[in-house]
Amino acid sequence: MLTGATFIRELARGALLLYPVRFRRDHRADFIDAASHLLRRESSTRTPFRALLTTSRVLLVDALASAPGMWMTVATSGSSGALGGRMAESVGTWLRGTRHDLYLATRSAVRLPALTLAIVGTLSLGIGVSTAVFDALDRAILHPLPFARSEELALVVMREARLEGTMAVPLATFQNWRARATSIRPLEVFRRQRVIQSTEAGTETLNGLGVSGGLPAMLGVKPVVGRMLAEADAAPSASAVVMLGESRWRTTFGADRAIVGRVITLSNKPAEIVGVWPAGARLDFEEPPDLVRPLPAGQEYRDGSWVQVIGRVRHGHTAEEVVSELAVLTLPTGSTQLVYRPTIVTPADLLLGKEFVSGVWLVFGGGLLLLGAAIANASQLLLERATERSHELGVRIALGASRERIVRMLLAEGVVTAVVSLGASALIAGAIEAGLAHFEPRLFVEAAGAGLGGRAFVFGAVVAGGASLICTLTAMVRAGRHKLAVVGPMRVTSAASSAVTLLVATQAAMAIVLACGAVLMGQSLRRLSHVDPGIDAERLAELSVSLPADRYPTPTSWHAYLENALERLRAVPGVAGATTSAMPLMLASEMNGLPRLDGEPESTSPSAPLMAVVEAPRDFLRVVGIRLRAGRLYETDERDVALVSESLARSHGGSVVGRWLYLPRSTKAATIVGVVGDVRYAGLADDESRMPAVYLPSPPAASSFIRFFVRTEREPADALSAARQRLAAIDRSVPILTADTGPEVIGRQTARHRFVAVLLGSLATFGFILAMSGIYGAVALSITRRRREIGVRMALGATAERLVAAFVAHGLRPVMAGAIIGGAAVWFVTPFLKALLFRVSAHDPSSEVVGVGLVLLTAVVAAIYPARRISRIDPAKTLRES
Amino acid sequence: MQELDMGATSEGLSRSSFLVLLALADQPRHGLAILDRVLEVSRGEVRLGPGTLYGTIQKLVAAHLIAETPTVPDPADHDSRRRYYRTTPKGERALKSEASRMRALVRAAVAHQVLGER
Repeated sequence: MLTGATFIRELARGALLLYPVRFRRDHRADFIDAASHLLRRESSTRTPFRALLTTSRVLLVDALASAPGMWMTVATSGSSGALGGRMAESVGTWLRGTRHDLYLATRSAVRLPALTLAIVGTLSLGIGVSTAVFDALDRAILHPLPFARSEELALVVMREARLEGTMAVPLATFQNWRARATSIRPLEVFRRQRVIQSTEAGTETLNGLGVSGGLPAMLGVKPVVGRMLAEADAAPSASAVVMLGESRWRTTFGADRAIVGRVITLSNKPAEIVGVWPAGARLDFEEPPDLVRPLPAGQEYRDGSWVQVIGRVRHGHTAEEVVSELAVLTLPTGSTQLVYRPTIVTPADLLLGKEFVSGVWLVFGGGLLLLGAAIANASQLLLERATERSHELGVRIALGASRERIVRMLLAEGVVTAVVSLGASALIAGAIEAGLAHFEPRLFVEAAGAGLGGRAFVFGAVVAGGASLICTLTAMVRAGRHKLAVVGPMRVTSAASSAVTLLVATQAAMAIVLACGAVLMGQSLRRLSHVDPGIDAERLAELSVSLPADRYPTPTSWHAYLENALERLRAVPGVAGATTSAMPLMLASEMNGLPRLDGEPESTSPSAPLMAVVEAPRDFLRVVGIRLRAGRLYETDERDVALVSESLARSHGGSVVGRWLYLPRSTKAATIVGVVGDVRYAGLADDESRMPAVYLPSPPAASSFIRFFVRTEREPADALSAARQRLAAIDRSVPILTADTGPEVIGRQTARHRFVAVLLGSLATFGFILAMSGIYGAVALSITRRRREIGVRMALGATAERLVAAFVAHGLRPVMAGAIIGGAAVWFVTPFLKALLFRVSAHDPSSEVVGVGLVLLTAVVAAIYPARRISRIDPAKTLRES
Repeated sequence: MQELDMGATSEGLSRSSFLVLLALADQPRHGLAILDRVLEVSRGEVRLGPGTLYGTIQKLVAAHLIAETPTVPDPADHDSRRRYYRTTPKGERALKSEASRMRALVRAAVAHQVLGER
């Protein structure tokens, strides 16, 4: 094993390379002696580790401080007097030497193709995986808003202390902040909006982004072509303008630069295209917008519609100061308490969710672990290559190559390895990102066009350089310990074999941790997908339309359309029922507090839970598939009746049919006529809060925005396209905004779990590949080194089978040690996954059994394969060779 | 102002040159002994790295402030691989003049009570 003294000597040799030739020639031995002397002296007063650290630091700082001065001296004291004297000469020699070194390095790499391939493959796998994971982390968490000085950007929402959810900022509050806040300015808003474009062929719903007039300038966004939106465009009197989103410009308009100035019809009004909004200027993780429009100044939005407030925190102010200033500005006159407080949220938490963020960090940790393992494996393989080449190096040294030459040659090999690995890892990272984008397309919106991000490339390059350097140096130092200069086979030392043992044990432990994480997430996902959402989503479809105001100006006209549409939808073959409701599937209006039944006192608990209130026609319950448990369903035109959910009934003693119910803060009573099954309004993964629900009869609500639910007898996807045609047949100018099947709606709720599970699963797979290559390498190396011993044993009568068994058992010993370490590590690591686990304990023993079992199985396979080589060893030949 | 070639600035000797000259003031020493002596006279404050040490030695030799010497102070400690150095008369003069310059500076600082009460 590498001792501190050897390390310091090697470090000194490395540092010497920074000095001019003459200095090296005159003081080489003294320099290395002095470094060892420093270590000895430090060791007398400190722990060995501290001494090593201090000495290394002194050596590095000293070299960086003193070497440049010596080069200056060499440059200015050239005998020819000119700068171009000795310095130019030595630089020229160095360059010529380096070119030759690189040539030799490439040649020697090509000569051992299998080994070189294994080294490059291992390294690029580690670099590729960690780069892809870093890129995901960078895009999602480190720099979710890709704008200049993005660290100053803050998203502001209103949050009620007791609730998880957030609320949009009321318009008056926003205008007050904008006029008076000093710690955060400018303050701007943006919001997603559906935009209807009419063409000669019909209407189309586009994905719009509305931005306040000052937003582009605040973010510093530059247009792809044309001009940016400006403050003047948001003036109420300004003529309507719009920018095209870059992806729509490229796909629909073939990147036509002449598009600027063209007029299109949006919501029946003409708007002039003034430019193209770049795809990189992303404000959220949704699909990139098709259009970007200015929000009119002073009426950016209506209260109750969701907008996002964004601003720049002024230099010298903290987030806390901003929040308290905004809170003061929010307080109504004479009031001292706020129900909803302004809160600054990090973009990642707001846009992606906290569990997701912690999951991505965990996966990044896994990626770094993999990288570490890859470096260790590559170093092992490089040592193997050095063993294979010990004859060649010995001959070189015998012919007079200096130690420095050999070191430079090995370093050049490191550079070649780094460059090739970087190229290969870019391919691997690109492939992984493409795979990830399949599961979480929102994350790689930008990457789809631009490939790997700039920061990720720098990360990859630094990692590739660092990794190659580390494994070249460790292989070099270890090879040095084996006295490379001696021509002949190397002898295995106990220290070297214990390093290999440690390496294999660590890799096995890592593979176990990753495997357990993946198994836990897999189990969790499986259970989540079997959760009963409370509705029958399998044969259900949801559509929504928006009625244009000019053709449908009154509630009567909305109602006529609704009745007509429902009738036509019910007539579609394979459709068993159609209905409407204001809320989308699996969502309900939430009310603070619980209902009270007759004879019960009003709850005075300060922490009132939430309750779902659904106002819907009778048909809604039947079409959506909410199950009746007791009593009967209400009729749509019945008055003062209600249905309650099972959990609500249970909390009131079970038999509640016939009792009176009062909603919180209400004195109006309704008779409970039935009990229906629980629906997971609080989210599929929320096992704790079965949100109690109350259903009240209500005739189909008519508004210009209509949501249809269709129950089908066959696959909902088929009925969906038929339903679209029927709706289009009524009125082609009414755009269909959404059309989803029930399974799609439910699937969206598990998307994040699926993403992290897939990430961890792929990391675990890579971990297994690396652990296998590590175990394979270790067993192969030990057989190469112990050839002679094997020969002797065979000559003395040992059979090949027994030797294979012995070597496999020997190879598995470190894996066993790793299994123990990994099993213990799992205990500490998996609780980080807790937020993402569903009905699975973070310490689920079965995941550990599966993880350890898989690793042991893998290890046996990886050890048997190289051990079979033993049977090909001819004892007579081996003994003669030695 | 002395005519020092490379070991000094116009202000006087560099810190490492001064310390190496000081380490050699009482007797000739080899490189590692200079390293230890510097640590000793600086009361553990200054750790010369090997680059600075041998760089300084090289500069001082070139400026004729120190020179290699065959004289070994303690024959028992003799190691034929080691190179011993001694100060030259020019080096002694430079050390003295630097020390007196520093003394004058320290006196001025003390007079202004920079170091607190005397």
